[in-house]
Amino acid sequence: MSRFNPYTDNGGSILAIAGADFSVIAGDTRHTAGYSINTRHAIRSFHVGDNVVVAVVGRCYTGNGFFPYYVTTIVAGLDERGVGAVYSFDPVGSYEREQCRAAGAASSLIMPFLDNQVNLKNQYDDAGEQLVPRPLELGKVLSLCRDAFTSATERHIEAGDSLEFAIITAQGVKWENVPLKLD
Amino acid sequence: MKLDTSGLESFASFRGGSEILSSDFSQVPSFELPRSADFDEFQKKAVQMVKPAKGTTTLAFIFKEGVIVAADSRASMGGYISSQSVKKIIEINPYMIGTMAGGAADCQFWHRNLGIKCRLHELANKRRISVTGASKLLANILYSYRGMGLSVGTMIAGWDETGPGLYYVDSEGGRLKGTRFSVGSGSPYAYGVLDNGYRYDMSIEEAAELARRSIYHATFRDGASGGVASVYYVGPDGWKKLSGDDVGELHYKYYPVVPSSVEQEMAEVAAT
Repeated sequence: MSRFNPYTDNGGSILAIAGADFSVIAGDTRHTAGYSINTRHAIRSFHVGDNVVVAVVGRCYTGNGFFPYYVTTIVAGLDERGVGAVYSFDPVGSYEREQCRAAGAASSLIMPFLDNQVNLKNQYDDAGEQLVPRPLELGKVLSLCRDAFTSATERHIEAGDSLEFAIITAQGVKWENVPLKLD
Repeated sequence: MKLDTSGLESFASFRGGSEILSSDFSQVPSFELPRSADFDEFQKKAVQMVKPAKGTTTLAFIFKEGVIVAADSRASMGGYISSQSVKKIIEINPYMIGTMAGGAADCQFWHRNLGIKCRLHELANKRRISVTGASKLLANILYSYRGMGLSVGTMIAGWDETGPGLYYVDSEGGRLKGTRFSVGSGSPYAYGVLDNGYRYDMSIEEAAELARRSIYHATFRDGASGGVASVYYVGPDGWKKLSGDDVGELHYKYYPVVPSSVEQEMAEVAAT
């Protein structure tokens, strides 16, 4: 057993999906410390200019002195060809471009759902052939994000309150907010 | 519970005491250590937490036609598989590749850094750096950070003026020249298959198949390895990706489902 834990976990989850000409980044707005809710309106996604939104979840270092922030980062936007792009980073900076990525407290609940619904993993047609994933429509992506978070809220105590979307297109970034369960 | 955010404060106040004494000297950037009875344990815990230590299987070997490099693609944090699509074979330049085992970020960053250094060598000397030189460049960098928490276990494979080259380099300062290596938690399993099937005079196809099979068997026995088995070949014209197969599908290739009828089984039982 460890005697000390250098970080406190503030919960929260984020998720990003890339489309053909857009990308969506979504995050819940609950901020916790153990069982207590610090705020129901935490901001996790940030518009950093140039049509790029960065979302961050992680832990706060508790104690004195220098230690790295323990955060996972997702960057979403459009690439040089105008195609939706999602890049995910680990806490110390290794990164990868992906079609979709969930991070944070409920990532282990959301990511398998995304694998199945976005990348069509383990889905086969009647002939037993693996289904080929195609870029999703914006409406479908938004409803997947909503479903991912409403379901995660049902099964994870650190998920809930509200869901904040950033929809990134060539026209700019549009923000939307959807309420989640507060319990 | 009150959040202690003092760790987020700027470090300016920790710097030197007397303005008069220190003003002539350039200030050395410093930071305060955590208030802990056992700093080593604290640091170990924190580093383990921040750095997703991945289970991995990577291998590389030299044979008649060049070098074959192969790896799995799984990244895990504890029991959670954080990615099944990690690029563990890092392209340093068109003639040289490196493998990733240990900290993903450390490998990714220092291989890119090595790529920069190799390109600068090329511009300064009007010829490509040798695999020997490149691996020593990396080993020297890693050694200079020894004991500071880096976690890298890599193989540098390439083709230079002397032909195929293969080195194992790690963050403990080790650098070994060799013809056959496997690194990572799945390496014992990969070695088993690799050593058993290795011959110097294999064809490229045979060598690629041996590498693929070694990675597959490692992913089969090592829970921390999995995803896709990627195979690269480095020859006189540089590296080339030969294949990337989902190990779930490779399983049915190596162990095809044999249709068996119930009658047959019952007959066998009756016979014994």
